[in-house]
Amino acid sequence: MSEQKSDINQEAVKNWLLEKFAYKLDSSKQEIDPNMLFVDFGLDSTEVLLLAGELEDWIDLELPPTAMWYHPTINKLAQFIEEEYEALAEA
Amino acid sequence: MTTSLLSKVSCVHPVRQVDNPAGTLVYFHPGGLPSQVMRDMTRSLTDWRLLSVELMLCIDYVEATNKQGKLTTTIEKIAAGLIPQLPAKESNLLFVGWSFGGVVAFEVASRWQGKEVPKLVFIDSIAPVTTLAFSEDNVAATITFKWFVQYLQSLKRCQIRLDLPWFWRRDGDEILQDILNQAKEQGAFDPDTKLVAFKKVFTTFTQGLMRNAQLGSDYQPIPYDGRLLLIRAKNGLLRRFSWTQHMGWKPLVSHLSVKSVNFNHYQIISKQAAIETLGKLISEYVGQCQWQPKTEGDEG
Repeated sequence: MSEQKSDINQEAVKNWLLEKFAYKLDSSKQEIDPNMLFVDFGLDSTEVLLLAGELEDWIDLELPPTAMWYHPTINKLAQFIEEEYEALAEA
Repeated sequence: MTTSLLSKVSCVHPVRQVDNPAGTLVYFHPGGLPSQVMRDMTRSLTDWRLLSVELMLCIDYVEATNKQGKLTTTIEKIAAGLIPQLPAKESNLLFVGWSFGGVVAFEVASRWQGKEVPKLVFIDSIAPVTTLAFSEDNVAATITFKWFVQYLQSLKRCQIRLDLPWFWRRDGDEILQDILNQAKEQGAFDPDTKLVAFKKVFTTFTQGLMRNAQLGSDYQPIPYDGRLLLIRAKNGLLRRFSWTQHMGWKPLVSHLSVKSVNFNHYQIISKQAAIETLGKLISEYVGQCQWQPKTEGDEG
């Protein structure tokens, strides 16, 4: 596993998402609720997809199209990605 | 196990509640553009209750295709899942659907077991008939890019010039980078938006088109003994089939009327002038239809 991928865990993904959402919403990381549903952040669909695309590029992993429906908060998505990485490492 | 959004959120939402309503309008929205437009479209129907069906919150629709791109459901199943969530005992029902939302509304209406058949208004919906079916094989990449640009222009309120001469094949990434650059110049996206992220928007858009096309090609609609007002966009997705003014619906409904408005498929539910036009046409249609008189205790 590359050095970049080995740094990707739930906490790292969560921090990455918090930073991105904070930037998009012109806010601070501390003000972003990691348990808020993505749909409640008020971003339009393209902005959410842009984030998903950037995230995929960073983690070097394609997310299923329904990832943000089945894991609809920052915390849940970060947890899912960590689980995906663990599954890949074991495979 | 994580709890999915789809299991927590209903796809049928009340938009306007009215005491003793003259009727109920149910708007079927397939996603892509904001659905709040239906409030503006129906502003003059002050004594009508409004419900919104958000197909992108409907688990069967969202997961209609698997990782291999194969269908996992049908329009019939999607409709069957929606019906229990809609008011069963109401009379004076009007189903309004934009784009693929119209196709789903048609199937829901076909299965309706209420007092009377709902009346229908479809906004630039293509009927799922073989002659109008499109797929990855018969939709040129140039057309997909053209629709994508129309979509972005409506969503982001920007103007994008698409340079796709038919005789010269350009790399898809090159075309998307050009579109992204133009959008960024107009402030539609942040200046640091990368192509790799923008490609996610495009691939999701095309996957949605193909999902709807696959669902439609698998669907066997049964002719409907009811009224349909079809409002089509003059610059819609079926422009090359413009001779088919009824967009395939004529053999499927017993009473069809068609109106054309001078917008494209996405402008028709996003531009203010288009929404006002839709509002007038829907209001006129409601006025022309025969409805049951208001009675107490009709609500489901």
